[in-house]
Parts: sequence; C-alpha cells; structure tokens
Amino acid sequence: MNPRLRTALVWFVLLAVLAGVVWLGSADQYATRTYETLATDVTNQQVSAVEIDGEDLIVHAGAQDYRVKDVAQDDVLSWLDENNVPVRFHPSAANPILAVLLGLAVIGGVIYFLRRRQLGAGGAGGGTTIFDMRRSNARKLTPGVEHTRFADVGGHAEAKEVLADVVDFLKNPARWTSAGVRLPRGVLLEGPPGGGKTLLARAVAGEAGVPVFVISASEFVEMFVGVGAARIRDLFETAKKSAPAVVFIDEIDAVGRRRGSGLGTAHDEREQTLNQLLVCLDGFEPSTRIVVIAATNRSDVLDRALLRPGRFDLRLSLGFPDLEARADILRIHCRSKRMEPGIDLRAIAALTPGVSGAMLEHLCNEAGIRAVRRSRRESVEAIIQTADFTAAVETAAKVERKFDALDALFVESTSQFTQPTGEVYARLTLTDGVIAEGRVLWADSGYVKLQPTPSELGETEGARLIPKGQIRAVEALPGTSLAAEIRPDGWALRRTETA
Amino acid sequence: MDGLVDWFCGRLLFWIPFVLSLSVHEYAHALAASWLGDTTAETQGRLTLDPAAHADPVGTVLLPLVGVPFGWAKPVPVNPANFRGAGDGRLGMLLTAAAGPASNGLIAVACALGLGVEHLASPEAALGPSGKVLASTVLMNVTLAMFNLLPVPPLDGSRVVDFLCPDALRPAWSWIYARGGLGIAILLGGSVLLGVDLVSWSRALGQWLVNQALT
Repeated sequence: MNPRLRTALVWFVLLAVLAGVVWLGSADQYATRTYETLATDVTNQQVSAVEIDGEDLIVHAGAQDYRVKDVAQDDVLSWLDENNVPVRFHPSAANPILAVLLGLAVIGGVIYFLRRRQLGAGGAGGGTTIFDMRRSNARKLTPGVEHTRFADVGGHAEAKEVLADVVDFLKNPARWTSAGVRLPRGVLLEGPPGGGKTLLARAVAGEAGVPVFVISASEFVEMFVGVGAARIRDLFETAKKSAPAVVFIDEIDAVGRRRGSGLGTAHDEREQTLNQLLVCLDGFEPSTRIVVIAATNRSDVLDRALLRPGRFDLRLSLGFPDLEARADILRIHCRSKRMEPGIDLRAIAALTPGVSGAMLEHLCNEAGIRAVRRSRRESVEAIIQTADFTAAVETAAKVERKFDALDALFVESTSQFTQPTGEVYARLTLTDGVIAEGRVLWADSGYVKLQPTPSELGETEGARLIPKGQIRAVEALPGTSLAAEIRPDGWALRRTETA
Repeated sequence: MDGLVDWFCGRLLFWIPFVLSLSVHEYAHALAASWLGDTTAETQGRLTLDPAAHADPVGTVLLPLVGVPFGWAKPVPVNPANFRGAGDGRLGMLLTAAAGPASNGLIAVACALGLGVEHLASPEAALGPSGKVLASTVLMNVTLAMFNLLPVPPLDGSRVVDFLCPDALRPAWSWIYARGGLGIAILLGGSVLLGVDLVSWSRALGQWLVNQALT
C-alpha cells in the first residue's frame, strides 16, 4: 500500500473511532444539569422520581428529565429519601453486545497493526524480530545475475555430463516426463575442500537460467528448537513458489549427520531439522521442477536416509583434478589475465600434483600479484611470466610442506615415537576450544608434548602432554622447519610389540 | 462487562489523541532533520505521520492503554554529521530536538482554539465529551512539550542543554549525558518517591489555556 495512503487511512480510522466513542458518550437522551438544579427542584417539590445510573442520577422533574453527574453517593441518597423522593435503579440502556464487539474490534486492530509492523520491520531493514527467525534467509540468485557456466568449470567432465541432464530437465521437462523417466531430485556433490562443489552448483543454475537459493546448512540451526525445521520449510516453500528452481545447500553435513550419533544426549534440534529436510525432499510432486544440490566433504557421516534413492540419489564425487583438468582450470582462471605469449600452462599444471581447484585459482592470483609487483618496481606492464607461476607454486608448496611436516608428526607417526630434529612450532586447537601454542618436543602414537610459548607477561609454563585424541586442528607457526628435517628417531623405528 | 467497555472507551478517548500527538512529535523531529539535510530518519521510514512507524509496543500501546499516564515512542534517529552548513551540527541538533515539543505546543494551541470555537457555538457541548477530549488533548500536549523540555537525557531538553553548556562544565555534562536512561530513571523514581508532581506546572499552563478558550 502507498505509505501516504496508509498513513491517511490510519489517521482516519483512529479519528473515526475517537469520534465514535465521543458520540457514544454524548448520545445521552438526558441533558446534564448541575447539582444545584437538583437541589432547587427537590426543595420546590418538582422531582417525581430519581434513578441511579452508575455514579450519576437521572432526575424525573416536571417538564424535562435530566442527568446530574457523579452524585450517586450515600449522603445524597439519604437526603433524597428524607425529602420523600422515590429512588430506583435506571435500567441499563446500552447494548452490551455492540459495546463488546466495538472493544474487541479495537483491540484486534491494535494487535493487527503491531504484528504487521513487526513482520514488516525485518524486511525494511529494521530490527529482527522473533517472527523473522522462521525465515530461511537463503540468498536468491536470480537468473540474470548468475553468469557461471559449465565452461567456467575446469575438469569434472563426468560430473558435468550428468549435471547437463539436470539442466535439461529444468529447461525441457516435457522431454523427460513423456519418456516416463523420473529425474533426480537431489544431487549430492562430495569431495575435498576446494574441489569445485559450489562452483558446479552455480554453473547448473547459470546454465538452466533459473533462480538458485543458496544456503549453508549451518544457517538452519539456531539456539531455539524448531527454528531449523521452520527454516527448511520456508526455504522449500519459497523455492516452490519460484519453480523451476535450484536449491543449493552447502556443507549439508552440518544438519545431515547420522541421527543418534554424538556423545551423551541426542542432538534434538539438529535431528528435527534433518527430519524436516527428509520430509521436504520427499514432498515434491514428481512434476515440481526443483532440484536440490547439496555439497559436503564429509559424506561418510551423512544419515543413510538422506542418501537413499528418491532423495539424494545422484552422488557425484568431485576429486582433485588430474593433469588435464588442472591445465583446464589454470586456463580458465588466466582468461582475464595478461599473459606472456607462449606460456605453457600444462607444464605449470605438471608442477602441481594433488592440488585443488581453489588452490590453482590462488596460484593464478598469486602469479598475477607477482607480475603487478614487478611492474611497479621496474615500471613495466603487468604481464604474467612463467617465472611468476613457478615462484607462486614454490611459495605455496612451502606452506603445504609445512603442513605436511605436521601431518607427518601427528598423523603418520601413529605407532612410532617421533622426535623432530628441526624446530616445530604449532598451534593446536583442542576439542574443548582451548588453543595451545608452542614448540613440539616430541610426539608418539598417543601424545604430543608441547612446550608452550612464553606469554607476553613473561610467565613460563611447564611442558604440556596433550593426548592426540583431544586435538581438533593443527596449524604450523612461523619457525617450523621443513619436512625434510623431520625424521623419526633411530631407536623408535622398531615396531612396537603387541601383546 | 459494561463497566469494562466504558472503561476501555474512556481509555481510548485518551489513547487515540496520545498516539496521534506522539506521531506528530516524532514526525516533527524527522521533518526538521530532513530540512536541515539529514535523511537518516527518512531512509528508515520515519518521515511519516503513520503512528505504526513510530509506535513503541510498550511505551505507546501497552502502558497508555492500560491507564498508566506515561508513555513514549521510538526515538527518531538523527545523524548530526549530515547537517548542512558549518559547525559541529549542535545547532542543527538543537533545532531538530526542539521541533518535537514545538509541534506539541502547536497541537495544544490548535485544540484550544477548537475548544474555544466549540464553546462559542454551544457552551453546553463544550462541557460534554467532545469538549473533554479537546481539553484533555490540550493538557496532554502541553505536558508532552514541557516534559520533553526537561533537561534530562534522553529527553529533548537535554539537547538544549547540550547546545548551551559552557565548555567548563562539558566534562560533567558528558558524564551525565553518557548515562542516558539513568537520568530519566532517577527523575521519575525520585519524583514518585518524594511525591513531587513533575507536570503540575505544565498542567497549570494547560488549564490556563483551556480556561482562556472557554471564556
């Protein structure tokens, strides 16, 4: 509604109610007189009778009846009695039903306006209210905005082929339904981080030219029980309204974890959210053109009900790219960059075995940064050379190798007592959220001994023995030597005896 | 039941003018700010007479409707940095703050004039319910203007003090100012405890205005 019109309407309604109430108040068949009039009339024996109406007295006197306000008190009544004026109660003339209806209408109107206001506030950028929480807040990517195409995805030829079917289903459903084929409702993309899961989902939407609803599964779960389920419902309802559409749920393991897992009590809220998701996945009519794409890198922990045919029945594993795919990815990311002619991206791809697509993108950017840096230093144009790529690969590999060093220390050395010969500094995030930083003294199959870094106050703590089971994440800190410098202690190479 | 409806209608006679007066008050702030160059209120949808935009669920609806003779609306956001012209925006802030109580003063005078006209037309009617509503609206608006001009943060009057405050006293004033709601809490709590009627003089002024209208 037009805001001005709305304002005018609100004012009109309020003033009309005011006028109505005033009119009700003044719609009195009796004129108001003062107490003095009553006193004179009583003394002159003019009063035939007096009726009590609440706090007022209605006086029947001669030619005209009148009302005297706020005088129905004991002393007045006894004074009337003394003067032989008959006193009785005035029958209530007001229509109680009408009055009650009026009151209810007003209360209802107030509640309606407040509720409207609260519901509207969230969308208008005001504060969020409890009602907004049930909204899924999925970001909607409209067809014109999403420009990603399959051509922007390097490698994953097999996955692209399968997803092209999904795109075709969204575009020309008749072809598929007339053949009596049921199409996948859900596509589960699994693979290591940086493998291009999100990119592929966006490409599906871009190719199909339909709206995409993007949400991360962790956004469903909130402090209040039931909110997650409500958000799932909202997401699917909104998607249905703009069908054909793609719903993309990122990191689905946040809600899709196997039910009944976890220590101690079950995680009720998450399970409720998962149940709702299962129901919603079942809930489409076969003709509803909605495709749910979910991504995870922990498909091993997903609930089995989620993976059964009819829900996420299409599982695509997106592994790390092979040589050709890596060269493709590099080509895609270098499209917008100025390159030295004759640069051999395939050779660079050969330098990066086991590297994810995201890392390759990072390498291209890093090479570009180096080119810009050189152009500033030598005031030449920023054109990427092969040397930029190799330098970028080397820096990245150094970082990677540091992680490898820690991996060697914490993961690989499961049965061997290992002592780093070089310095290893690490930041360990423990399962309870505590962060321990310091120099690693040694590690064996069960424990890591850490000499904490002296705090800024200069206090030194004793070395800590941390069970590996409590370590959630390991991060290398500056000062850590390279992998080559870490080797197992000679005597520890003997196999542990088993009892 | 009948008594309840009567009571409720009586509350409405107070509440509707109250809500409309508060809307005009907040609208006046927003209008003044937008005249001076700050569109913060406008972009937040507050440059409107729509009561729903200014209503505070507790201060505008609940308390006044159940009969507490006190209430408030949501404050209009103002960014003094956007004010046109030189200076640090304090003069603009003063004008913006003063616009609210000034609008209530105008409503009071307008309603008093209306009451006077009604009295001229029919002295009887001016004593009836419609006259009562006009008179109570006059009183209400005089009180709103006067109360808001009390120099206690976060009331509008505190902005006037903010503008007039000499530099020597500024640290002390800033200390009080930063405590925001504490000032009004002490003011209200103290007046209740000590039995001081904060609005007696504004009531007197309003009564005078009503009496002028009726003669």
